[in-house]
Amino acid sequence: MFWLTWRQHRKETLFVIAALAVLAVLLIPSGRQMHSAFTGTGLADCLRGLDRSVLVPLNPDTGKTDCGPLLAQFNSRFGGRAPLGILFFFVPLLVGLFFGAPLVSREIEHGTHRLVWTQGVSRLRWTAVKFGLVIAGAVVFAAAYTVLLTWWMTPLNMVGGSRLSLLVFDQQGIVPIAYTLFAVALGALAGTFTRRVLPTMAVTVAGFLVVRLLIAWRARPQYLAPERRTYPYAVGESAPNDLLAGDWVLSQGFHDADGSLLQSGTVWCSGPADACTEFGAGAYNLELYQPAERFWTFQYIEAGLFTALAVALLALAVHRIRRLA
Amino acid sequence: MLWLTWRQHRTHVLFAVLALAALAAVLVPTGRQMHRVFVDSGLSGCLDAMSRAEFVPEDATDCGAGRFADRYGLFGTVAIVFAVLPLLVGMFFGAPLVAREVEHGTHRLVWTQGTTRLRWAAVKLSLVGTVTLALAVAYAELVSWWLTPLARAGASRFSSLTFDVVGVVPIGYTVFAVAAGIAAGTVWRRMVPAMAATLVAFLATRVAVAVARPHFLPVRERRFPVVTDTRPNALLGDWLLDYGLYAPDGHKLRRVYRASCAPAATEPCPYLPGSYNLHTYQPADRFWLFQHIEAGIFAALAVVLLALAVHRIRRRIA
Repeated sequence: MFWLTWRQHRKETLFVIAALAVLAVLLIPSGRQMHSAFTGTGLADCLRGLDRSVLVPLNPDTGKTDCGPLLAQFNSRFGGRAPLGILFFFVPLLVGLFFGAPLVSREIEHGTHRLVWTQGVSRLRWTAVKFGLVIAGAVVFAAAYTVLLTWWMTPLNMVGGSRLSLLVFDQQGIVPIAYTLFAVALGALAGTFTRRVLPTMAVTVAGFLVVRLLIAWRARPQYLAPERRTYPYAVGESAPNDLLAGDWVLSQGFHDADGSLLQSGTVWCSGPADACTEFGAGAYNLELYQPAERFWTFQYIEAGLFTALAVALLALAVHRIRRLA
Repeated sequence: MLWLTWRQHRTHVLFAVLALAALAAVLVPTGRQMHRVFVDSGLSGCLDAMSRAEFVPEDATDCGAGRFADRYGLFGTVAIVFAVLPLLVGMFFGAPLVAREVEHGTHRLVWTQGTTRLRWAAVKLSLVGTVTLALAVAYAELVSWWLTPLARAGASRFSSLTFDVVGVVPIGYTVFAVAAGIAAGTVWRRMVPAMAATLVAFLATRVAVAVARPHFLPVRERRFPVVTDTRPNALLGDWLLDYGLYAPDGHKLRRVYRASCAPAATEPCPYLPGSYNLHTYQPADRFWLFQHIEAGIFAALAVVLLALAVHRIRRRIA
């Protein structure tokens, strides 16, 4: 059974290893270049030494907050690469599509499962070996590409807002492994329902996209209650420390002293306090945010969620295979 | 044969129409809202009335375009998802077209019933081709309309996230993806490998053409002095390819968007006298020309792949 499963999938395995090699060839040189620029220009040290308070003093020499020029330089050189990470949104889906979906449906469509089941291999053993091997392979692949991509994205994370934000969070850490597991489980389960390869793949695409997008948009901001912070309209000789803290800002609003919302977004005024009285005394900005240090907590929550979904889908798939004719 | 092809593909068509409806259900409300904000905030009128001059005074307004682009930036990111829709059509419509028949041996039944291979191929290709084209046009129109405000407020319609999902290129991509799927099916003859081959071929071709895109036509140069009180008009929407500060002898000093000193400034200008800024760009009015060139490349590739597929169906498949 092990030998059979290996024979059925060895071409795909070769293909995956080739894909990983291509990925490494593309990412390693560009990643090394980015890392060396990141540390070499002193940007890494500057960001590490950055003030993490809500308001930071204006730099008296340039009128801008610190690290600005280095940051702009880095962004103009490498900022265009950040959207590339978004392409990896689809990698777990592809694994589910090409490994998960045909796993059961191809056997049923061609009737090859009957041959195995009538040769003294029980359904449970057949399922366990097939699922076990393919899932193990998928997890190893996902872990390999995720490690590579996480390393590649580190400098871009530090300069480009929050690691928690949509389509940045999703490409690194441990969640891609859980997405891959989920995609494979979804494909395997869909195969027990539709029993033909093509519809199974279509269902896998649709199901994966819907679940992933719904959880990312609706559930993720609410994994933990967001923190609040406020700062006044008149900020004196300082400026709001907007992006560099790496917090994931969920909403920003500008309120007057009674707390009623004047407009969304932030409004502030640097300079002597008596020059900033347009909105009356006590006007303030309110931000709801998820702090940057919750990154790993959120990773574990989301990875746990998708792993649990995958386990449930796999259990259902095993149940259905035991009932198949 | 027409009836058979329809029966074979009617669930596909239903699925595609449903997907299009789902897309419209998301895009129409969000797009209407974005269009309304675009007009109501005065941004649309301001952009219509703004200067078309190549250089504008230092304090010229940007109409609040930056704020609008920030506010709806996420929409632009989501548009990347649309870049893969042509690929999905190629994988699910194109790749199984021949591969599925050959894998199951069902082509033999048809060929031994008095239908010639050429007629079989012609009916299948033309029906699937027509449906694909109709879907691609509908989807491209929808996304183009949806992204209009963001494309006008953003830096340039040429930026890869916009250029690739609006206008006529999505139609070219879709036709190419389907043709690649069909051709892959005649070569590999099994569905899953044919789909994988479609994926690889599509991504490789798309990346290669996107890399070549800045050089479809010779780039233009815009030189301007360091000491000036005007700046290049960013709202023109030119596709900026490279920029830098150059010494008088023509070698590049630094990669900066613009180095400038005000003529009236009291402190001395820190740059070498006679140094200048140089931007290389593709002008905004070449947008449609570039769209047609790129769509033409993909359409031509599609024709070649379809010819290959027909040839293989007639000669190679037993």
